[in-house]
Amino acid sequence: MLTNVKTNLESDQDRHPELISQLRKKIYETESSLRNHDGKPVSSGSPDIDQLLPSGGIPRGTLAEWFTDQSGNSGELLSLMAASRALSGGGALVIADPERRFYPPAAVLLGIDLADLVVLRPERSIVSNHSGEIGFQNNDLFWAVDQALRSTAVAAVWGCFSHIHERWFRRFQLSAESSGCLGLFVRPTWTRRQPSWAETQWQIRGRPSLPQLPCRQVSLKLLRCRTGRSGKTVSLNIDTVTGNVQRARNEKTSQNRSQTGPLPLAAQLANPAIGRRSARA
Amino acid sequence: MPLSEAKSLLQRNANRPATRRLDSSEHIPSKLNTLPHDPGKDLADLENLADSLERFSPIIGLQEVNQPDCLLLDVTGLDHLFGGEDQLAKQILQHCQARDYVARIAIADTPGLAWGAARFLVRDSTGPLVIPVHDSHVMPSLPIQALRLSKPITETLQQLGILKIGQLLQLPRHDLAARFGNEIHRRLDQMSAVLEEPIVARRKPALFYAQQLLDFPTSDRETIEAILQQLICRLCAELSGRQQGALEWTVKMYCQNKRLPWQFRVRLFQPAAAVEQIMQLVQMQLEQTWQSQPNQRQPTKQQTHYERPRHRKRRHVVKLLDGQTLEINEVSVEVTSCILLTQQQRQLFDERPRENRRELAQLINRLASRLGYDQVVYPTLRRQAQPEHAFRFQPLIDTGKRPRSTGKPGYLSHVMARPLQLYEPPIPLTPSPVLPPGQSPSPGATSSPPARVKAAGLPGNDSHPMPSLSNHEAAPVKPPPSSTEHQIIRSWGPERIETGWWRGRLARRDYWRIETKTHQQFWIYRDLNQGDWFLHGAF
Repeated sequence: MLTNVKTNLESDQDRHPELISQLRKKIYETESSLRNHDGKPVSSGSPDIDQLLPSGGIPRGTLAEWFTDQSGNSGELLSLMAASRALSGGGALVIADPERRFYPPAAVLLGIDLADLVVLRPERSIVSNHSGEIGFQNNDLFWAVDQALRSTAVAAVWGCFSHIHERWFRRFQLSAESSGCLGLFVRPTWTRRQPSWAETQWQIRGRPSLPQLPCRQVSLKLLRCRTGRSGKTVSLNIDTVTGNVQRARNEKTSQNRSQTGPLPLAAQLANPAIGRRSARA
Repeated sequence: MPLSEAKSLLQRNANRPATRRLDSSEHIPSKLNTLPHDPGKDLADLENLADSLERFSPIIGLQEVNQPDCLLLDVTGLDHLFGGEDQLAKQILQHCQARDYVARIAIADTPGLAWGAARFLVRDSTGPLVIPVHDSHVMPSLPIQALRLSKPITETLQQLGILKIGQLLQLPRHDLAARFGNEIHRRLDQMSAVLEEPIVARRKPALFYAQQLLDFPTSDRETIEAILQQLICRLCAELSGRQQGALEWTVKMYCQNKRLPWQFRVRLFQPAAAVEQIMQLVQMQLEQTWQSQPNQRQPTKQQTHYERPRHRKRRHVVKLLDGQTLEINEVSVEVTSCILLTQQQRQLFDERPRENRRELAQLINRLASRLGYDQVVYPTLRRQAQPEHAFRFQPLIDTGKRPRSTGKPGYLSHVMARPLQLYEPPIPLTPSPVLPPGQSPSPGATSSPPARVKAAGLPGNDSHPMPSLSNHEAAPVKPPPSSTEHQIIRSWGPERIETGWWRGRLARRDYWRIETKTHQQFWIYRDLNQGDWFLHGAF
């Protein structure tokens, strides 16, 4: 039964692409109208990345995730570029730095004014769980991130997190929606299967650098984009001198079949905009 | 505490367990816990001791040096309250001993003489020393180090054979001034009470003060919070009347079962006189230090469960986290720092709608109250070439000022000159001696990055686990579980950094940006002093 419905939907999508896109746009506008933002999306730092997103950038009042396989794959660089663009409308940038690795001189080189930064470096209290593994108690940090996302004086909250409990993630989403703040999280790829309330998800993979040019190459895949088409992949050249990010010349856009990003059922049900509408009905 | 002092202390107190820190890896008894020397923690402990000594003197100052280890108490006119100066000194000594401190105490006419006597005349076995008023015999017998002179002057005097202050007093003063300047005169006059040397109180006196005495001690949390709200309301009204905002609040609670008050401070990023804001921060502090438990009384025989009122309010008893119940009989609230409030009108058409300083200040206040004042910070750049010293984090609350825009570091030419993540301390790398097939060692290969490196004990692997690489066909390597091996396929560099000689050890490093076979980019360096490789950052 489900297979038949899915097949019918796909065939409708093939027949009426314009209608589907219009409906998608209307749904998106209805949902986003409940958010507290000024309507201008935040550029991701490169027009080639922005054009993958339906609104031409990352909408304010949402969460975005960058997944990386390993450290040193430019996940922090691309997400901080978006954070620096978010500062153009004023406000502070809150950096959650539980691992105490954030290096401010590099942020200055990306064009971030240190006067706009608030860095959270919570003391790590070591706890051991029932299986004997040693971890860090993150409740205080997540509480602080939630408070920052709820503040209208904060433009963006940036952080590298491995595990975010779904309850906290849901709070983050509600807080970001209420204030119009942007949440930018860099996470390891193995957390992709965890419940997420991020509106935009990217997967970053490193590619071999060009030997002749001062560029490093990465591959960026749009994993999820609400009301947009996910699955698009773009190869990017990051100029190590100027910091410009642009599409690689020899890059062929992935011709894989793109489809609307599937959302987990929990995330769909938890969408606050839908919840508010149904409450009024 | 220097290790030499710690060792001598241990020898003297062989039977007592040591509680102080050691800062060296020399051979020490195995029963001791050694921790790296933390000057900030030392200062905090000294300040806590100063707070606890306020029952002996209202004016307590720290020695005005970079790393103070001495407290100065102004006990003028207070001796009769304790039964004389001898009794006062003994009580202070007992107070310090009860907190596991080995204290040397001296009471004299001037702070300089008391400092010198405590340091050079008092021994642990002799107990406190009280120098009688106008006693002129003690000062000449002290060594010249008791004058707190600068190190070059002290060394010069010692080279000249002047070891005691008495010898110095016999020399003509104008000759000393011509040779050493006014420093010796100033210190001698301060010690002999010719020149006044005030003790700078560490804690400022309360600018606004409100207190509430209770007829009966209480441990009910709601009652205490209601009293606190009343007191804060009163102080905020006073502050608003003078158009001032408070930057620091001190809340003290005097308990029936404790001699010292239980107290905490609330510090603010920007001055405020709003009751709700202050009360919210006070409650956050209380929640962190109190465990509030409902007082569950056992029903009596006559009073069964169904006979009790159904909607009876539960009392929350105040207990500290260590389980002590507080029976509070006096609550006081002080404003110890305040400045004039400035009003700023917002623009009608604001081009930067998120530039809301008041809300940002409230956010910082909340974050700092919950996380800790030194964990909500802002970075500043420093003109240092050594990467780990090129920036500094400072608490936002302490300064109350936002840093100015510092611009781009001038010595960095391109955007990816520095990694966004810095591993501190650097992770030692073990270069593999095996070169990739077809590659021969080149001249000067010692300064180039090795073909493979193995990082042992990479911190925080849970957030960004690094893969274990052993793809080399010629020499498969199985690294130990705690280490990861990376095959380097490309490198850029070196960037040589030679700096830091003034810190005691010249840092000579060659930095490389490397790309591994998995296309990760790292920042590694070779320590030119020792020849070892380190992983310092990730791009």
